[in-house]
Amino acid sequence: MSEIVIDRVGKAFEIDGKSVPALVDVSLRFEAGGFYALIGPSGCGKSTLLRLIADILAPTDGVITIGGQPPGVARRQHEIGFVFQEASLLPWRSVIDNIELPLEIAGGPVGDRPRPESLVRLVGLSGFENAKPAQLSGGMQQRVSIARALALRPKVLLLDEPFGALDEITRQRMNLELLRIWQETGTTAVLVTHTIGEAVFMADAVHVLAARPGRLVDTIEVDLPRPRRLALMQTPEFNRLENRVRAALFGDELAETADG
Amino acid sequence: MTFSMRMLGPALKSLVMPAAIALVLVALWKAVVVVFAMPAYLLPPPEAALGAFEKDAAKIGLAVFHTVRNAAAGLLVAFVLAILLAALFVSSQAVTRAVLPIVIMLRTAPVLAIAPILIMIFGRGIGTAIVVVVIVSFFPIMVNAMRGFSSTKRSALELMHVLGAGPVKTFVKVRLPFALPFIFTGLRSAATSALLAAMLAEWLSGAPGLGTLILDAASYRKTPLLWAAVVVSMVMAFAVFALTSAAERRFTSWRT
Ligand SMILES: Nc1ncnc2c1ncn2[C@@H]1O[C@H](COP(=O)(O)OP(=O)(O)O)[C@@H](O)[C@H]1O
Ligand SMILES: [Mg+2]
Repeated sequence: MSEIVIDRVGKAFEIDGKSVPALVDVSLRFEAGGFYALIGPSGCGKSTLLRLIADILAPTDGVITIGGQPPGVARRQHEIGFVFQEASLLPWRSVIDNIELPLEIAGGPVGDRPRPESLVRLVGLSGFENAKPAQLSGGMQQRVSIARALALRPKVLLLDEPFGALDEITRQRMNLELLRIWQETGTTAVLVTHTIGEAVFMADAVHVLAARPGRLVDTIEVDLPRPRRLALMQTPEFNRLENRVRAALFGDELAETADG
Repeated sequence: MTFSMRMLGPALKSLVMPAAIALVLVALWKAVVVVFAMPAYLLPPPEAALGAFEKDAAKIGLAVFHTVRNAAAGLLVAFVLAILLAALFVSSQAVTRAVLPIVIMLRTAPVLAIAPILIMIFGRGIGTAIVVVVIVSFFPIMVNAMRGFSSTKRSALELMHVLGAGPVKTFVKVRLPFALPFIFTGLRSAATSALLAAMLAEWLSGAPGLGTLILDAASYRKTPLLWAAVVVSMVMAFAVFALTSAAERRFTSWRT
């Protein structure tokens, strides 16, 4: 429930003494409590953008604010939930202990935070509380890291291709769960995804990025009603939005194929 | 019942092999004595060593106590020092450049040469023993700990960062656990050399212990006692190795 403002942000990496731009002049506004999707080809800077918002990286140009303050403030107040592209669980901790890690770091009373046991149930891992990450499939590990990201009721939830390792059916189920959690908590969510359908299904707006250099090319507002249901995906309105995202992703390429 | 049997199984199994090897060694020892008609002042038969062991059990026990106490105390100091230094070195390049050369110099200084100085400063008792043990055994722990601390997965560090964890929590909850397998590798080699170092310190300072016992037995030609003490020190080294290995398995079982 914090607004995120990205104002003319650029990020360059130093590679072999040369400065290589990963993101150029990105300006975006994620309204408090909204759900946003970032989509684009590999290497267009989606992960870099999330890392900038989470204060893992500092921008080379421009300014990012969360709730009007620098991202470092939100981070130090434990207000950011981050689901990494790879599950990044601590291998010596059980499922439940991994989910409790953020609570141990933030300290203080549990308050209205969700109980770790209920988070385990939420991501469908009841019975695996005491399993070690090595005993879980990639998809299950990713679900643990989603539960972990939700443990502190973050005001900002950043998800970097969280469902990439999941099969289609589990993924749909997780998407619906995620929407339910998001609506319940009122967190501002930013989802990086490869899948056009997923982006449209989840988001209030889909931001399309292009590579070399990473930049914003288009924003598609998704004015579909909420709560979203699976049947929505078969409506013409949904397909029209999917096509608009596809057009933004492929640009001229798509036009050529249609002509020929 | 079955559960405790299963727990006992590996422990028993890990004792069977060493016991068998020990038996073969003793048999070989006896064979050498018989076949080459060894004079007892060079190599007494095993049963003579056993006799000496029984006769001087209290004396040997006291010597073992002194040596093990000194080695353990020195190892503890070395461990704390090594972990602190390693943590410091991986977190600051400047400190590494300033302090690491001094550490390496200390490491390469021959203990024999600086022994008189150490005895002057730390006396003939446990002080000098601890310092000698520290000099010999802290280096492998430190080097391995440094490797361990810098082996932490980047994603785990980024996670701690996003969660707003400070350097202390990041160290305790992520860096240290990730480094444990490396630390145990260092600890295992340090623990066995700590025993040797404790005996070396006794040789240098004349303080009581297994090393001094061996030296005295040799100079008074008490060969059976000498060999009893040698066997005891070998068993001790093996016990230390087995103990640290068991601790390693206990604390790093997640690696499998
Ligand atoms: N730490 C880094 N050092 C150097 N280059 C990086 C680093 N992180 C990302 N990059 C580069 O920035 C670009 C964008 O990467 P990334 O944000 O991971 O893309 P995406 O997540 O969209 O696939 C890539 O060209 C990548 O090689
Ligand atoms: Mg990425």
